[in-house]
Order: sequence, then structure tokens, then C-alpha cells
Amino acid sequence: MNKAFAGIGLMLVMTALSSAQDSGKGRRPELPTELKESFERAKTIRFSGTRTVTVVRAGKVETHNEYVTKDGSNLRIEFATGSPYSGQIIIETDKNRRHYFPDKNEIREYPSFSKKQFEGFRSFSRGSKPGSMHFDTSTGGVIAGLRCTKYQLSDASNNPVAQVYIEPRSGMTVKRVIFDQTGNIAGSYEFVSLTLDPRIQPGAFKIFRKGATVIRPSDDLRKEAKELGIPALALPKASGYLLESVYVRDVKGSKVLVQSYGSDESRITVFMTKSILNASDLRRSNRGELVSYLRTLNGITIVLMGDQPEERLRTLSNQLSD
Amino acid sequence: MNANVGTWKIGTRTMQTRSEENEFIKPGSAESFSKMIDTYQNRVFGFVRRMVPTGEDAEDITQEVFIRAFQSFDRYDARASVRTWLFRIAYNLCVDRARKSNRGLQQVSLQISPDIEEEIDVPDTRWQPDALLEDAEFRGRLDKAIGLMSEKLRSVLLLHDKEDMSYEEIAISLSIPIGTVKSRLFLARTQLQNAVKDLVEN
Amino acid sequence: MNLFKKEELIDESKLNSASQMRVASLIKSMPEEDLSLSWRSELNVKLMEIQNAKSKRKSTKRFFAFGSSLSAAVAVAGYALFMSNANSIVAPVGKIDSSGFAFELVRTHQESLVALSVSGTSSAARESAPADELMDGQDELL
Repeated sequence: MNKAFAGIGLMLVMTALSSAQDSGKGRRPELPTELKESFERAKTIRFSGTRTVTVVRAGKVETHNEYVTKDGSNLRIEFATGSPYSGQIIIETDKNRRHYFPDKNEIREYPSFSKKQFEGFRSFSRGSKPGSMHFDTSTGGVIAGLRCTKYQLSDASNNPVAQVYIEPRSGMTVKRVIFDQTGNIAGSYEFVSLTLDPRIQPGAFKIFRKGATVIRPSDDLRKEAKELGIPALALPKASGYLLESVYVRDVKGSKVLVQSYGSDESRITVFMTKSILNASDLRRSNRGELVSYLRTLNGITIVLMGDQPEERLRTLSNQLSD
Repeated sequence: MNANVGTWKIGTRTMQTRSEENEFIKPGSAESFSKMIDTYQNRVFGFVRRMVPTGEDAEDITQEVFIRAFQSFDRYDARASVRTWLFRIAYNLCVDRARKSNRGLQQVSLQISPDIEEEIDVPDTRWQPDALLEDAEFRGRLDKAIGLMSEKLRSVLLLHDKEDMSYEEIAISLSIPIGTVKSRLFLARTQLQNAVKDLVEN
Repeated sequence: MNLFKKEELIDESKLNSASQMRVASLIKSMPEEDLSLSWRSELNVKLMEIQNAKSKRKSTKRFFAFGSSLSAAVAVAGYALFMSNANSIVAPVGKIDSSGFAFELVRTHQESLVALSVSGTSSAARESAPADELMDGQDELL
């Protein structure tokens, strides 16, 4: 290929990419004032309740009940007897999130999930044009005995992207629904019973387990990478992204090491596999806000995926190190 | 726009003559083809977007339209206008996609419903399309009504009323008789009218 | 097999009635749909691949040297970067159901976003065996 030609093109790429980055800001949906205020009030909320959660894992829909207790930034989640997570306990504070697994007597320690990113709906934005998503407000009915206001985030074709049902006085999110791009529910929770401002026992946000092993995502990364025979590459903290989970997923008969990272503003997934992946197929699979960047390193395919411009993902990929 | 306030009429359609529309088309010329994409990409996408369920499918199909057109571009002989040619490819791809997703062809009655009232041609000051389309509920109802329509009706409606294609061009694109184009257009418009009537009146 | 009832022929005057024209004006006024720069860049790359496949011996003359279309230049530049960085960017192959593989990765990412938004559990849900290092036997206060 003509290098001079490529050189001119490079200049134009930078122009195009910088405008793509600028338009990234425009893509973030603007929260209605009432909703912003609700989220602000909810930061100091105290409640306890039971919620029904529906999630999709590996394409399969699962439903379970969670018992949730919250006091400001402290959170405790336990699971109903008979659920697949029965006996597990999650405690989150400003410092970190710890998930206890009784079968192995393990405590898995993660960063605290960023509330800002959750509230911003950034990860669920669709459409590349500024203002391509909008909020509608309506009556949300009565949920868990509380009268709610419903905020729906929709795309330019009025397809629902996400819904939150808020109890206005407390700012409590009583129900939350996320839709996929075919209009099906991709995940949701709904409180079925709720007590605002309950009495919370001292020590509710602490747990003592004799002999428990503490495992961090970086530990999982080292072990899994070693078993797969690939380098344990990770993003450094300086990147702004914190490693939140590591696991291996079987994809079309190939093992893929999956790392989930979160920052205040966005989420990135890093995939590593020995399988060869076609870059154009990856691009074709991406839609809307989702961008991916693929590279190979010594025969390992590395894919970064998230809602950041490709240039940012490329920069991040260069920061991967073991 | 007609001098009577609130009464809208579509002016006489002036279709570009084939020679005008095709004058920049040089079969086999990459530059010419690229200009053609510039001219038609959004229009083809607009049509396809309303023919298939998702934006992603629409983007894929729109790309496929131009890929197929490019593959046969050196044989393009200008007997059909560029527009007719491209929308023919687009329509066929949309129908193929619908078949693959097992949506199937919807049966549609082509008999005019006896319940439809004869409209009296009076000025209707409520009827302001731009203002109506600013209303989210109206837009949603309209989009839904279009989406529920069969592909046969929807395609004719979009090609005629959105793309300003003539009956003849539509007949060539969809490989149907001109009489069928008119019937389907009438039926499509009537269905839409019924779908949004109450919103306009309220 | 004829699935449809016999069509009723429609007179032109019916198509030009006020009510019909109102609907026509509504359709005409529907917003335009725009395609993104990246869509066009992707298309240009695909067309270039077809062009190259068609005429291997011809120089890849200026498929995109026309007008001042930024999108075309972006596509060319993207392709140039793609080809010149063969060390770090893959131009591969792998017909191991590559598109299905890519789809699964996208789905994994999207599921994790949703799971974190609605559940105490993450999408990982202990899919892999836990690490067996560190701090064995230590009492732990959460």
C-alpha cells in the first residue's frame, strides 16, 4: 500500500477519531433533573427488603430472590434458601465489595461498584448521534407498597432501553429493568417488600468466618491464565479501570479468559484466547455504542470491548502487562 | 402547499428523467459508484430501517445493497434508473431477511373495508404533519402501525410517499403490476389513517 | 399458491383524496435516517476488498480518491493502518465460526453490564475454579 497515501490518510483518521470522541460525550443520555435529585437523595437512604432479580447468564434466564439491607454506602445482600446462591453473603462498603462463598469458605474481594456509572446509564446508551436517546417520565404505579414514578430511557425509535421506578420521597429505586436491542428484558430487579428507614443491627455490614480464604480478581487471573497457557495480562490501576472479575468462558468450544473492568464512567471487558478471531466479524457484531479493538500478541488474540472510542481501547491495550 | 390553509397536497411529482438522474453514473467507475453511495445511502437506509425490525439488521442490509450493486455495477446499463435498481435490491434483501427469520409473509386482504368512511375534502387545520411528528406518542403510534403492516403494503407506501417514486418505478422495483401498486398504496394509507385518527382528533 | 384475495382496482382520484394525501404528507415528513461515518468506513473497506479481488493485477487506483469525502479517506487510512501494522493487528482467518464467536463475546460483555446493574451477583458467578493461594487458615473479618 502506498505509504504516502497512508500518511495523508493518518491525518484524516485523527480528525475523524477526534470527532468520534467528541460525539462520545454527546451520546450520554442526560438525566432528568428529578431523577438526578432522586439518585442524590438515595445516597443516604436506609432500607431493607426483598427483591426478585432476573439475569441472563450465557444466554439462559435465571431468577432468584435477594434480601437487601442498605445504610448509605453500606450494603448487605443475602440469598433465599433454595436459590443457587443460598448461603452466600455480599457486603459492600466504600472500601470494597466482599462476596462470601460458604461451600469453599472463600471471600472474594472486589472494588466497590461505581454508583456514578450505574446512575449514568452510560453502558446502556444506544445510537451514535447526540440526543439519540431520551427519557420519558410517567406514573409508575404501586410497587412493594410504594407509589412510584417511572423513568424510561428510550432510543431514537422509542424502543425502551432501561426503566427505573423511583419512590420520590426517598429517591429509592424500587424497580429497574434493562432491555436488550430486540426489546426483551435483559435483566431486572423488583422489590416485593420494602421497609424504609428500618432498624439495622450493629454489625450488619461485617461478617466473621473462621479460616476463610481471601481471593482477589488478580489471583484468579494468575491462576486461570496459567492453566490456559496464556500470559496474565491486566490493565494497571493507572488506566482508571479496576479489575472486578475474572473467569473462563467456553465459547464455541474454545476457552476464553474474561476480565471485567470498571471505572467511574464505563466498563471494559478484556477477552484473551488462543483462538483466531476475524476482526471484521467482531466489528459486525458490535452495535450502537459498543466498540471493540482486536490485536494479537505471540499467537494470543486479545479483544477489548466497551463504550469507549477505538483509539482509547487501543491505548488501553498497549497498557496491558503482567 | 395549497393556498387553503391546512389543506396539504403533494405537488405534481417531477421525476428526474433517466438521463438527468443517471448522468453521473459511469458503469464500472469506482468514483462514480462512490458518489452514488453518497447520494443514496441514507435514503436506502431509511427505507430498509422501516422494513426490518432492528437498526442493526438495517445497517447490515444497507451495506449489502451497495455491495451487491457494486458487484454488478460494471454491467449497469441505465435502462432502469439508479434509484429503481437500488431499491429493488433493497426490497429483495429485506424480504429474504424476513423469510430467514421465519416471520413469513403476512396475509393481507386487498379488499377495501366497508367500514372505511368516505373522506370529505375539507380543510383540516389540525393536520400539520411536522407538528404531529414532534409528539412522541403520535410518532410511536405511527411507527408501530407502519411496523405492523405487511411488507407488501409497507414497501409501496415508503417508496411512493417517502421516496417519491412513481407507480412505474415501484412496479419495476417490486416486480408487480402498476394496478397492484395503486391498490396497495391506497390500502396502506387507509390503514395508517385509521391507526392515528383518534390521536389527531384529540 | 395465491395467498391473497383478488385485488380491487383503485381509481387515481381515490388516491388523491384529502385523507389519502394527508397520510402521504405524514410519511413524507417522517425524519430522515442518517448513517454513521463508521458504517461508511466499513462499507468502503468491504468494497475495496471486492475491488482488489476482482482486479489483482490492476493498481488499486484511487478507489477513494474522489471529491473530499472524509469518510472515504478515513476508510482508506483505516485500511492502510490495518495493513501496515501486521505485527500487532490481526488480519486473520480463522474460519472457526468466527462470526458466532464474535457474537458470543459481545453477548458476554453485555450480560455482565446488565448483571451488575440489577443483581448482587456478577455475571461471572463462579464459572471457574477458585484460586487456591493466599492467606489460608486466616480468620477473616469482613
